[in-house]
Amino acid sequence: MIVFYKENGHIYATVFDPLPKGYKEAMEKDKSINFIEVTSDMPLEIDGGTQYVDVVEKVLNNRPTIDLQDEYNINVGESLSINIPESSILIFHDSKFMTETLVECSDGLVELDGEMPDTYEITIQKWPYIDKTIRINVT
Amino acid sequence: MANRVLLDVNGLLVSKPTFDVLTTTENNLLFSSDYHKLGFSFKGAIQLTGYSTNEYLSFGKTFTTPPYVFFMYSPSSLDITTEMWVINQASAQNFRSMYSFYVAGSNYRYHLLDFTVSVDGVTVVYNSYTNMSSGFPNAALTGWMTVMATEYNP
Repeated sequence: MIVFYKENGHIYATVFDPLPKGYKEAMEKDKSINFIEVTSDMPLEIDGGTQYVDVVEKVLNNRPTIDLQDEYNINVGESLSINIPESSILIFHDSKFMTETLVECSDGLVELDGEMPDTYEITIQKWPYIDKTIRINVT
Repeated sequence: MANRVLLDVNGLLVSKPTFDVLTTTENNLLFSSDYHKLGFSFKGAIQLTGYSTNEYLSFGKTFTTPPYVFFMYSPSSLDITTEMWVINQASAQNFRSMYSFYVAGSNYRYHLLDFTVSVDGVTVVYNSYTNMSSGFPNAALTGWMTVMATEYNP
């Protein structure tokens, strides 16, 4: 079985066994295509949502998770410090106006101030980590 | 007992039980080498992720004409409750499927899947749409779209 991936290791397609005759050789000729050959009895268990290809080692790996709680509770005037992977994108969701604000965070430590009582949702994105959404209740 | 198998300079014929291969009509044959066998020459899958996908998957060979291709998708979306099967037509190398349309009051969201079958591969373009301004959440598709290309005597 062949697993195709982007330059960053994101899996986007597979071809099942038995491979068509000459398929692997044809793919090897195209230098713009990245792929690895893997053994799997259950082809659709390969999942680009939870797995990626280590582009250096050329192996299938599970995407790491961002180690944060799903929910935090703080009081108005307090701050919340969270550790995230460096160079993460923080997406602040505004449920009232259905808007999203994206902020790139070069530091691995983020301090969030609870200024107004409300519930806030923030999604943290950093490849190859699985996206993590946290909810902060400010009371 | 009826003659069941005939092998001569014209090829091989096998008839159904009780039918004489020397005299029976074609609809009573189990096999005839006069006809090609249609099979799958290629089986793969394209991953749909989030609100949009645009991916090309190569057949690894070049057909003389775009082959018939089956597309299958199992539901993993908020609005989708049934498995989808789509096959292109010989006259339509580019074709579109609207996979779901969900309406709640004046709000809506829907998915559009565009398929292009060429002589050397398939392209699947997926987008989801909603009237976001009225505050209705968009819906993403995730999971695999299975792609199977057919060929005579693969």
